Amino acid sequence: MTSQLTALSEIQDLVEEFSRSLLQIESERTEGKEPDPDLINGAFRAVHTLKGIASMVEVGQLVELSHELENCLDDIRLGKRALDSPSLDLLFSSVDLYTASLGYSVDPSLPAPDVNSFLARIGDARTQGTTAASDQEQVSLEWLHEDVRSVLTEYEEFRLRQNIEGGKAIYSIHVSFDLFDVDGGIERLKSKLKTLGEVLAYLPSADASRDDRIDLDILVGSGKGLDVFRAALKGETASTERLNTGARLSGADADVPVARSHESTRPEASADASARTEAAFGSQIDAVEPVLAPPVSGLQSSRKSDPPQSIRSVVQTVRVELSRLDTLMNLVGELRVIQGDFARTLARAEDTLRAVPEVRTLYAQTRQMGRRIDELRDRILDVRMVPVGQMFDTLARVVRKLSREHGKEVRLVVSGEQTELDKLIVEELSDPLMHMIRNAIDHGIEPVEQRSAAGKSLTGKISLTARQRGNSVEIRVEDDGQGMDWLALRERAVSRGLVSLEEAEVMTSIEALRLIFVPGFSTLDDLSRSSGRGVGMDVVKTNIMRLSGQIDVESEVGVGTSFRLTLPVTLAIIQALVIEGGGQMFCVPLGSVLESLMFERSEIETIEGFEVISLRSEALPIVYLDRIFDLPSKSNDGQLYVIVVGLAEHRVGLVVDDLLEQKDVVIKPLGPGLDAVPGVAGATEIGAGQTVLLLDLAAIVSDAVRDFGVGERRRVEGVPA
Amino acid sequence: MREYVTSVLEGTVDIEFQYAESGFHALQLLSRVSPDLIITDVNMPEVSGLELLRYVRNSNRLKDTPVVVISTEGHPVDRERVKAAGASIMLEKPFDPEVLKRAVSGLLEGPPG
Amino acid sequence: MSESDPGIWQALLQSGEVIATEAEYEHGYSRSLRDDLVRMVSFRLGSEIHAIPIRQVREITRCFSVTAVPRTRAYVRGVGTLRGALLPVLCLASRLGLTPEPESRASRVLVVQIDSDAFGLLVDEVIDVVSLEPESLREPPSVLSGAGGVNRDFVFALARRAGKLLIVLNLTTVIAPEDFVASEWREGQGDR
Repeated sequence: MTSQLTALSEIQDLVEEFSRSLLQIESERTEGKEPDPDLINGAFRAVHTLKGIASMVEVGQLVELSHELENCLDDIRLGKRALDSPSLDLLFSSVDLYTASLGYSVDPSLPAPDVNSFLARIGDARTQGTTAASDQEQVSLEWLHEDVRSVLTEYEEFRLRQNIEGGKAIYSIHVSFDLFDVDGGIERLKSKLKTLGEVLAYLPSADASRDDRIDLDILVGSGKGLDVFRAALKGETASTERLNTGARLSGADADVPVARSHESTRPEASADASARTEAAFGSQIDAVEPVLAPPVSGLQSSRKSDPPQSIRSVVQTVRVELSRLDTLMNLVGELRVIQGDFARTLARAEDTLRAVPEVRTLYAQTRQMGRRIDELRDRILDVRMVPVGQMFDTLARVVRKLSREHGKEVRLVVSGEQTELDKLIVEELSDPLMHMIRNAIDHGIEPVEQRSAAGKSLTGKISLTARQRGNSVEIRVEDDGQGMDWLALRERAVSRGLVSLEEAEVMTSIEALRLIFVPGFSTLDDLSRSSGRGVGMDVVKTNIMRLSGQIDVESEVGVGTSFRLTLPVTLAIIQALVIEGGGQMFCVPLGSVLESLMFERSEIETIEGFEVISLRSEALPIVYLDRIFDLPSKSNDGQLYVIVVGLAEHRVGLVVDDLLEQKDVVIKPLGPGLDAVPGVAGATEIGAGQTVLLLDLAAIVSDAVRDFGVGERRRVEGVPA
Repeated sequence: MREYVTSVLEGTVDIEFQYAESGFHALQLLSRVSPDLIITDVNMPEVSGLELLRYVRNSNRLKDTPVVVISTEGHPVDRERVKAAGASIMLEKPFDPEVLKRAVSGLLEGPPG
Repeated sequence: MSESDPGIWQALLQSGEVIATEAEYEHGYSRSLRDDLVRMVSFRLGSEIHAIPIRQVREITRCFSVTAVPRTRAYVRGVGTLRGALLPVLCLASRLGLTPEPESRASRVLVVQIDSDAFGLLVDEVIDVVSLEPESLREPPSVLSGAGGVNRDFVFALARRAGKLLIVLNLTTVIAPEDFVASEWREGQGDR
């Protein structure tokens, strides 16, 4: 993958992370909670990292955009700017802008994103929204040791003050980790600490004596008592102490030491023995010793001779470009072909050398190898599987945007995000799902007044669920809106001339609901007026069907509508050999190709008027693809490429212009009419928009055999080398 | 920033680089090796450059290691604070790569700790 | 049937066959609040204007790359990929027996839907979406059949619009998948 693409891919991930943070922040706000400062900080960090990566690639104005956003988020996290609806809207728009910029950088035929007007907006908003530097009385931090105070960043200090002003107590937790377990240890501790309060800072203690341990003091702001802390952290190598009482705590904390100054980072005598329990950090951890050990002097610092240790935490995922998977699949395909040859050769040998036991063993081993290769292929196909959750996130943003646009209150509930589908299917699904959601928000969910009058919850709900059922995945899109009246649908169909009166009379409610999938049910007018896109459910259905899927609908007036999509887990993917013949690209199933060769034109001989080439002492009859399809012949090059095809016991060589590549392709049926063309078995898309036909080698070659009497001839004649 | 710094220094100075992904990793790394020079960003999540600097300066083994602190643009960090925390040199992005090169060479050749 | 165009229609008009006049049509169109108007897409093939009901048109798109399929009739341009879905594309002019024009920037592909199958029809230019009163549609004159021209079976009706004749096509006869494969390659076909 070029570094450009890697960077873009990382940027995309960060944009998604940013978007998720925003969605969570918003949902917390809607629930009336104060958004978690970690979320805001997380969003800030995501944009900051994004800026760093964007500065290394030339992609539109991503750097400027990120820079402004970063400043905006910094203001928000430092309390200089309120996180209100307009600000959130601004942030959400930036996500769209990022996405558009990324898309545009990859495909310049798309409309260019208007970053400048956004930058202007954000610039204006910034000057207006920023509160004057607070001249309110700053809470004193004198009880905090100078050492500590001096290294807190602006944000950390801000959060510290916020906590104090909020009446929270500040705790310092001294922890000690085994060197190699710092990451894991921190994670475990973090999750516990998060339930107790807000982690404000991590301060590494300097302890030069212990090279195999790392000590940290963690500052936490919390409304909970010291005992709660100690109880929660029992079992960790940690000791907790409280640094201040908190400005507004009631006097009930009599047993707690008051305004205790925190001596440097070595809580010497303050070590609370009860908290020093044996750590539960795995077998490597030795017994806890007092942190304070005399610094070992004369410790030779070996400089460059230290071999670099592996300190990266275990990487759990690897980003893979789909084309690399194609390459892997090709190799597997080639392996399979070679193995096939092996097996065939051995099978022949077995006949003649039946008595030789080794040959039979070899044969069995070769078959086993074939099975393993098939399994390898299946596992690589598995790698193409991605969770549908990726798509659900994008749809959550769409819901948000559309519900705003339509002035409706809608929330999206998802489940089954971990359900996996082939990446190609997931990509093809996003459009249809988006249309359905658009419809649900546009026509399904009623405006607030209507919902309230109907006694429904004011916020409409759209739910997306994905579930695996055997070889298929079922995805449901449901809304609790006004539903569809099947009688009205029926009437409309009749008036549009789509069904006759007689048909309508015997129609069931289910059949009537399915009318929405009939082309022409929604006129272009209806659609463009309401959703701004002239596409109806008939298109959605077609698209689902193209994926070899099914779609069905249920609905009840006043209650809601539910769509159910059933999709195969993977598409019909075959390994193919892409060739060129008669000036056109074709592909052939690799499984039908025994081998592919190159010959000099001069090597062609004729036998009884039929052209053959000599292949390992056998005469291989050849036929020409361009002649078979009546396509123009390539000029007389010296070399020809031949694909050897097997047909029962005959072997025939198909001459083509060029062998291009081996590839995994998704084969689609040609549809009525064209599927009856002999010799053509389907088509696939290679590259962008280039349709390539898949040939039915057996059919083509058997025609040749029949027409030219090839093969049979050869046997009868017993052709010499 | 890492790539940038590496590209600036590579070839100029005979240096072997070791990288840390985050403040925590830096701590792990520093517990194992004693580098001749540390270059760190100020703004890092969780364990910031300043906190790292304090660790280094408090450590008997590492306390004399020269530290170059770099602040990324848009975050004017209090130079005083950084100096007080014990940074040998502070650079604010965008900086002239020559300055970095000279600073690094100077610090490496400088008076032994 | 290349020289057909104005001549035959003039002959038709003069022959006395009833054809909706512009006046009747315009009056009905501009004032009507009727909801039984048939909406059609009109398009140009050579110098003729044709139309098909809009409910059968899924979308209208610019020309895209079409791969020729061997062993098919001449009017079958081939198959293309539109938004991930395969689409057979027919040259409508050739299908109707007219001389096809070279592709231009105005050329479009009408994606039509018959039951659950989609097909692409290549046309020279898309003109308009028109609303026609059902009663303004007239049967095509019998004169058309077998005259070496547009097969009468292909024509559903005639209408008039802004002074021009509109030939409304019968898609189910125009698009006959069973006819796509070139005759010599059809199964069960003797030689032709």
